Amino acid sequence: MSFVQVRLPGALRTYADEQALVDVAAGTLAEVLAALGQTHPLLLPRLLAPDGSLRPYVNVFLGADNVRELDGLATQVPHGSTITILPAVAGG
Amino acid sequence: MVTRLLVGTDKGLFRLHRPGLGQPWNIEGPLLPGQSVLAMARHPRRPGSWLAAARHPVWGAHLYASDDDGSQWRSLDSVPLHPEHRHASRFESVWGLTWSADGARLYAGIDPAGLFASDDDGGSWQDLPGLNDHPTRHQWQPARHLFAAHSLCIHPAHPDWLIVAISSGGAYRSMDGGRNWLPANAGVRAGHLPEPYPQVGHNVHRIVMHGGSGRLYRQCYTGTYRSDDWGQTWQEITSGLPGDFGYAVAVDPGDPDRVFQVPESSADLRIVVDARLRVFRSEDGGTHWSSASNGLPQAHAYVTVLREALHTAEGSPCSVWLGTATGHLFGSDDGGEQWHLLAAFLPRILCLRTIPA
Repeated sequence: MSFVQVRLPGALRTYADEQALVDVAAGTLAEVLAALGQTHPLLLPRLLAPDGSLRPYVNVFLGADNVRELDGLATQVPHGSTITILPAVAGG
Repeated sequence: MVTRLLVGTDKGLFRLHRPGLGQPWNIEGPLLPGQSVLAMARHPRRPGSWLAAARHPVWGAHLYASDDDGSQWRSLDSVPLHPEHRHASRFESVWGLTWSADGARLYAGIDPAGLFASDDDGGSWQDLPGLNDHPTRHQWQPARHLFAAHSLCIHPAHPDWLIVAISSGGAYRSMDGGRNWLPANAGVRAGHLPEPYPQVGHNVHRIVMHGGSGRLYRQCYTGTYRSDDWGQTWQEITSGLPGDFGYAVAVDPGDPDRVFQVPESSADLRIVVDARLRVFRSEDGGTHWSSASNGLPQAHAYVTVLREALHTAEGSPCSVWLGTATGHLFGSDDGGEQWHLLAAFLPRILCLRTIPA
């Protein structure tokens, strides 16, 4: 189990008690999001589509790497790493 | 007199207020900023209680509740979902919200086309498979920009009588509270299908009900219609209108014969006929129509009025409110005799409702 820090975009902080940074304990990105959903249940449906996949215009970075170029939700998250959630540049 | 409005747009929700007749409107918003507000519904028994359906291009579609007539909104943690494998997607967005008259049950029409019910104010949802798995469902197909159930009406004297529109798929009615459904399209043309009067498959743009009598009006891809037998048969009332296309239709809450419609040009162009923003009004249930458009732009108005963006409110005469897809908001306090511009530079207006005093 790793301890990681999640950086939330401004639009989602209203669903996380106005926090910009949330610390969670998890081994994979899926577990990171599940942990976020436990403490802040309104966050999860804004990150994941009803089928459980990452919403298409939600980008999640492990350090500087987009997790879509890693193992997606199965990406292992090392202890001490930073997860950054950002909206994609959609629409030009 | 109406003094407060909720206006749902492509960029959030706006709340308008005026101190009195003839006074300028104050605009508050955008609330739910950045979200497309697709539908709104006021609880019939709880003052100040509203629900809104909104969709954000990144964060998805969700339902929101307000207990103070729309000043503050909180997200619900649930949306209606299809069972897996019914459609390619379980949920895209909510397109229609309707409360039962006693406020005990909430219905939501969603994209992909389906109707769901909630008996706990949207906390959880029940599938209505009698409609959602209807044997004719294979004849439903996406319309432009949506594939949804909407315009659910509940008969005022028979709470088990429901009617809903599928775009496109046609209208369906239930006489047993939503367990069983029958197509309700007799007498309705379908210009986009080879058969002139098919049983199902119609692209219904809007169905509205006169709350006192249960009379129905319907605007379709081709034609405007009235039904006096809860959708068993429809009488076309397009004659006298300058076109048979349109989205918006509304009925005076105090008079089932007074109906309003905004004619649009062809399905290819989808702007008001002759670039004149006209509201047509009938005083006899659609037998005769005349323009009631004083104060509306009558030249170079390349606009459209969407299905939820024409609304009437009780009064004598009723008031009428309309918003355009170009963000112009108009109101008439005298049944359409004279219109006034309330706001000119809102985002694309998707729906609007009056807030009771």
